[in-house]
Amino acid sequence: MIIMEQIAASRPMVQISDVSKAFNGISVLDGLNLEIPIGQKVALLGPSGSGKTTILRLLMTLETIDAGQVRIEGVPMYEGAPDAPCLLPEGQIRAVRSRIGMVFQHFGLFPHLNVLNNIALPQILNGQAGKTEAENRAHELLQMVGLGEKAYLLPDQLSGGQKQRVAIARALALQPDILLFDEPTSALDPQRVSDVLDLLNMICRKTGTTMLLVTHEMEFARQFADRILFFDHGQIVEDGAPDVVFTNPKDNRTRAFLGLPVIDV
Amino acid sequence: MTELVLSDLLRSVLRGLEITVILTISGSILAFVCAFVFGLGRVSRWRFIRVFSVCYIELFRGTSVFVQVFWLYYALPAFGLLLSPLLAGILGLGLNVGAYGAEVVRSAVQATGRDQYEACCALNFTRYQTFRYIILPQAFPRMLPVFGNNMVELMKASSIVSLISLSDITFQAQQFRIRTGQTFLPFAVTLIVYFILYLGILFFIRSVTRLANPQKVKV
Repeated sequence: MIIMEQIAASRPMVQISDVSKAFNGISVLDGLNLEIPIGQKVALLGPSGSGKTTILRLLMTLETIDAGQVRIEGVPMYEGAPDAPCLLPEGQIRAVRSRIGMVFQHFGLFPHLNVLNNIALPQILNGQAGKTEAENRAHELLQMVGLGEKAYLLPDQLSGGQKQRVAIARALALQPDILLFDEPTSALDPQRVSDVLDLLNMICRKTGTTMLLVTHEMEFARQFADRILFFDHGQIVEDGAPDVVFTNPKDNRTRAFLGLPVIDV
Repeated sequence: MTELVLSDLLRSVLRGLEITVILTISGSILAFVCAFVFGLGRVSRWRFIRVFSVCYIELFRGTSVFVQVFWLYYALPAFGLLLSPLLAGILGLGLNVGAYGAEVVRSAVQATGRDQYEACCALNFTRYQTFRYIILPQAFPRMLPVFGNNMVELMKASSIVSLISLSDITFQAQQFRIRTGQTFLPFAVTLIVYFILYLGILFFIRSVTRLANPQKVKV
């Protein structure tokens, strides 16, 4: 019994095994392996087109993989042979998907619903809360992200930074175990970046959510993450704690990207 | 011009107006239903439904509405299906305009950004929930102005039913001309009545548009 619990506890939150993905014959991920323990904050860095965002999108089931397997706390997302995986049928995949939330680069707020309903409706439709309860929770979350007064505005009446915070509140409302952020700071003024950082850190403290974040901002990644993954051509070329990766990366591609002198072998 | 002639004209116009209004309203309702059924069928996950919807849309857009009404009224009886002129008129107009409406529904649904579908997936909505709560409320207001145009087209096209012996306004005007030899008066009145119907449809569509997007009217 104790052994079983230990096994359960040692299961990674996200386990990506031998995953390959190509778009129109161009390989984006090639035999990728990655494990992320529960509660870890991971920043994915690397040049454009290196496959960072694809990882988030396939975890969110916005893309499907060509080969391999993805497991969320041990639960597989695909069935069939590893070389021809097939996403689980709708009913089963929804159970897995409900554990994952995503904040999009351009937010993806619903323009016809006010801020409050953007946050309340997903809770209602997922059967997590009735109308009143969902609205109360939405108000609480809006307070938490500092937008208590904006509940009845439409998304288009908000600034980029405010939309971002609504998108975060909306994702949090469903209480996911894993939160994915696709370039959360790219659409924001530089001054707002530290606000997002503070908010994410607060969420981590409160909920212990596992987070994967794709970004181009080195400083943001450094302050946010427990672990940095540096991608190039669909492969992880650097994997370590921020201090190590930023000060003394071992791979020359990372060194070049960070503007550090290249090491001769 | 005697009062008798005038009251005769008025009676004829009112009788014709009734038929034209019945045709316009019933035809529009049928067209609306067809537009949704086949417009959504056009983007269905099932190939069979997509193919069937495309066949309907292209068949009815690609042939003349006159011929379609003639078909329903004169040709179907050859297959043992006898329709009343009114039913043939409603079906012909409704199915024809519905085919155009279906393309409006399809394009409005497809015009909804990919980001909306992706956000719905990320929030774990079912396909039905995505459509019902997110896509349709955004797509429907986009359809309304074109639906309004289609309804006006249907109202104007309804004059062809005089060719299958339905006594709509145009038919009544013709009859009046034959009876009295007057030409200016009946057709002037007919024009005005059609224009008033047009204004009515315009007003109706504006009201529905206002209901469908309250936020945009909050000036």
